[in-house]
Amino acid sequence: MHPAGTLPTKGVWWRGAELYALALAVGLAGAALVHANKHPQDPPLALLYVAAALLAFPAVDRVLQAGESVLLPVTALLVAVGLVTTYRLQPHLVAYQAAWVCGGLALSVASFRLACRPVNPQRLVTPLAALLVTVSLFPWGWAWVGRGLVIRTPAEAAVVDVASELAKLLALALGVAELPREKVRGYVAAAWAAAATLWLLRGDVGTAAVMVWVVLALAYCAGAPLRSVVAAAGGFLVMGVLAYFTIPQVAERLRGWVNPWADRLGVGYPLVQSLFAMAAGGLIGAGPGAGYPELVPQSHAGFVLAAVAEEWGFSGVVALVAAYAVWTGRAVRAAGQAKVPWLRLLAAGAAALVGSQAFLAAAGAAALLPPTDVAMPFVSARGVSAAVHLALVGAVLAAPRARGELPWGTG
Amino acid sequence: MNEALRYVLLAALFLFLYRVVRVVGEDLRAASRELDRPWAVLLVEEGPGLSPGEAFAVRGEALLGRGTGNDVAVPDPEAGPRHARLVASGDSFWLEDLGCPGGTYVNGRRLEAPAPVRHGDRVRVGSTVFRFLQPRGPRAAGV
Repeated sequence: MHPAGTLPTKGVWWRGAELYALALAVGLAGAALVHANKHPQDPPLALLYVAAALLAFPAVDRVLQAGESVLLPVTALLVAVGLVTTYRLQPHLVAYQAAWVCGGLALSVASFRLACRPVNPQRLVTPLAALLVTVSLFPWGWAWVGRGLVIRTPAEAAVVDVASELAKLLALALGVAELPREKVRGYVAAAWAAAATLWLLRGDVGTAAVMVWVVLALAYCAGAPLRSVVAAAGGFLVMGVLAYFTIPQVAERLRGWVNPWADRLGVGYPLVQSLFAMAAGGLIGAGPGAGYPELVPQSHAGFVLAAVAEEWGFSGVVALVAAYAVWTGRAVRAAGQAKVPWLRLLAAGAAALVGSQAFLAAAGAAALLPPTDVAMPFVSARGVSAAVHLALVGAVLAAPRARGELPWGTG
Repeated sequence: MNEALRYVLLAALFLFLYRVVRVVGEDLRAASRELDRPWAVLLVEEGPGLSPGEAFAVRGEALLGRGTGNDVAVPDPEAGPRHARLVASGDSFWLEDLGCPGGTYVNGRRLEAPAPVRHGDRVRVGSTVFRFLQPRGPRAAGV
């Protein structure tokens, strides 16, 4: 009855411990190199933060006893790369990022426990929507909270970070709650309108694209016909063409992508610097702390792959891409093993969310797609993003474990 | 020193990925072995909260009990939180009572120790009655 590997079995803990030890070795070696190359005169506090955040992973694994021996260790590896990159590019943020990771792990325990209970998923939607509206209505209050306490980014950026993470989560939660009720068309239309609003009014192409991708993946997993999914995707492309002709910011960004060298000190500057950084990295990179990734704008967030490519080399990029592929594959596997319909959709949605963001961020930095502001999950120095994705990890781990299907609308 | 640390970093990174690939491969092989394990079906005949004819597929091993954490969740107040365990051994299944006061019954007889169950046996957990079906396994008398 149980799919292989989903129940705790003897030996899984030790197998996991080995992977956690390797992730810790990556984090500590990377942080030590950054310290030696960039901050030799400072006390090596960053190593303590990195160690604390990474040691929290096996502790959480032990508490959950989820029996999934790959997903959490791979997340730990991605977080290790993220903390080293944050220490390299924004050293003042590393303690906050480590704190967000620990907070996110606490959330993952909570979401795991919640998902193992007979929960009505519709109850997820109302608090998320209320939080999103509050963030939108009281941006300055939230900015103060974000800037003063933990995030330490400019006020507007803090609000946008929180709001965009909430919007993506709300799209996911709405799909999980509504799709099994044969409301596919209404759901896709509402999410499409929300994405269009984000794109047309705020110019936030990345979040809009991620939302649309998650929505279409969920609709397809819930049984929507392929032609409806293709039609919705086509509608989004049409919207993109309209945005090109009506929003100067979008047109400028697209021109900067098509030929960044035409205006290499202007609109093409980030992409040109990203490509230079990747070329400079070579096969094994300059080593953490030994390159110049700070020359790439937004290298701690949207262009983090350029920073990894320059200092960890092509091999580091391959490892990062492989880690995302394994993460997404294991989340899809968890979705396939789930017995509860809403958890099946949630795990599939989490796979789509993490996979699409990693793809958009990587393809944007490598000039395969127009660059967006999408953060690489677990790696970019956006604390709230790390916490949200770690909370989703708990639900994905719970998907194969939770038994007992309840009728929709009860619980 | 720094140069050595760089190579340690890359070695740890790729050793991690190598181990992950090994674990994924082992899981795939385990999943394929799982398909070869004996399977059976517990068909509900009567019981509170379950409809007659409802079926639970069992492959390898399954826990029966009141909690939703069980493989066969029985919404029966007379069933224990973890009431009984069904385990495959060779080609047949064995049923084990996990010590709940209500007991576990096979064809009306209370289980005192783990006992084999055969195709067509009636299994009672609390007040819920299942028909045990294992078309490719040993058959109960008269089936």
